[in-house]
Amino acid sequence: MSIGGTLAFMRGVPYLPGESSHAALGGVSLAILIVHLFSIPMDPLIWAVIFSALSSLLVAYAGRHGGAEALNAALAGAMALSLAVYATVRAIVPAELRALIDTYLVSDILFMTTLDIMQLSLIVLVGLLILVAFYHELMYICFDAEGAEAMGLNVKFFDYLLFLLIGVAGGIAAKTVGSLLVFALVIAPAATAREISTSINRFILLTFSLTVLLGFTGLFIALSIDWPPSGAIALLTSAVYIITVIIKNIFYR
Amino acid sequence: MEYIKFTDVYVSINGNNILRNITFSTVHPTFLSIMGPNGAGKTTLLKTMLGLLKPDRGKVEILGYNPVYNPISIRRLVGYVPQKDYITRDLPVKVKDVVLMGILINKSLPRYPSPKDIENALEALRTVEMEWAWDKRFSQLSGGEQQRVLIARGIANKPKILLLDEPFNKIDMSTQAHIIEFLHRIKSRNVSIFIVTHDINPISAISDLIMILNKEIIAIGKPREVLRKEVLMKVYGSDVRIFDGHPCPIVVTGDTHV
Repeated sequence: MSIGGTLAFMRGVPYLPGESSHAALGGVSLAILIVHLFSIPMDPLIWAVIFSALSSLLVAYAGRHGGAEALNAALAGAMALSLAVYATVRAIVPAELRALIDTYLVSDILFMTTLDIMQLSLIVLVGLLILVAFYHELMYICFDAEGAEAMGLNVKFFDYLLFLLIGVAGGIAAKTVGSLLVFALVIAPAATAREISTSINRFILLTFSLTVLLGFTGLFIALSIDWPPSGAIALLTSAVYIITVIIKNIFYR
Repeated sequence: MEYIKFTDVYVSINGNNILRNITFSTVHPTFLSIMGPNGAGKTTLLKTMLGLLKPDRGKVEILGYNPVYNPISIRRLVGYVPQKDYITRDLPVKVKDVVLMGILINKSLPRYPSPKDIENALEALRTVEMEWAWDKRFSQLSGGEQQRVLIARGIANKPKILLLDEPFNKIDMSTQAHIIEFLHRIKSRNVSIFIVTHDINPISAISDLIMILNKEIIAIGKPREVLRKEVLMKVYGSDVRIFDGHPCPIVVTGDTHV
């Protein structure tokens, strides 16, 4: 997830993990509607990841063909459509399924099952392998797409790959903290790290470290004072970001 | 003798004809400056040399290679310095990352820089007198210093041809003079330089050839042969003035780069 936030900042689309996590909400809603109407067993997590990845690719397509304006319009459109699907399905399905859908809106990391953790670990592992293998390509196209193309890189392929990784991160985040708190857990640590990083490597490592550290600290605080863990983590990451920006502006201008 | 040759080349983008009937030949090494108004096809010409655009018809030969059919060879032979405006400047990348990009991208996984790669990157930075910035953040440098780093990246692979797209854009005159000196130094190492520019004056004196382009070649030749009012009026209309200067005439056009 932290890598997704870093990549989103590098590519200049910091809102994308939030959008794709809302698309995950739409995907989960559709999966649950199918379960409800046709009694076909479907795993909501898989659908969450598929929908978040697809919406991210759609945004990438719009951006490549229509520039920044089309990209932003696609971001807003995909988010609106997903929320419309969520609201409609939520009104149709019975209460127990409604509760299941809502866990992707505001989730609780402690409610994750062993199967959830195994599935997420596998997805994260594949994502990390892709990132390690194509780190230089992804960095190059984020920095200078035209120069990268001139060097013979398939910029189109790597741009879609980048959006795919960010989209998958958004889907995973929807499961772990819920769509509403994705900005806090995925974007806030990356935004904090960006303020104080002097290199890409440090940016990635710092984002990862902050996500883990603030995640566990938030969890510890939540358990200590009986707060919802996702809320505590979100509050903590947001507070750390705001404090970092204030300190940087006061002491390092 | 090695040469760069275009023969009756036509190039279209999305169905729009951008270049037509482009025919010229230069020996290697050469310093060719390409001048023309917005939309004249200058960048398209560079992209055609890189093999990024396939001509509708005609033939391109870069030191014996066709860019469309020999992309790997072209990548080794040609360095490219894109317009600085297209660079994402707020990424936390260091100067060493930028210069090594051009080297590492041609290596196989896991793409760790070897001591030789680092020495090549440092040598490229030395050429543009930016070795001191090795560990600095790219975004902290001035516009002129960033341009010098991008030139270093373009030559880090030791190309035989260096293509530069508007390297003097938003660069002050003193830095322009430095960059010209560096380009002169690079050419002396047997490197051909093709430079696209709106303002020919800073580089006319060191250009072997100047090409005036406006979708087709209006003129190509030595600076004093090309920088004449009757030639430039074909592109810029009456909105062009020529002042006698040494060693080359000074050209003032109403064309500005936006």
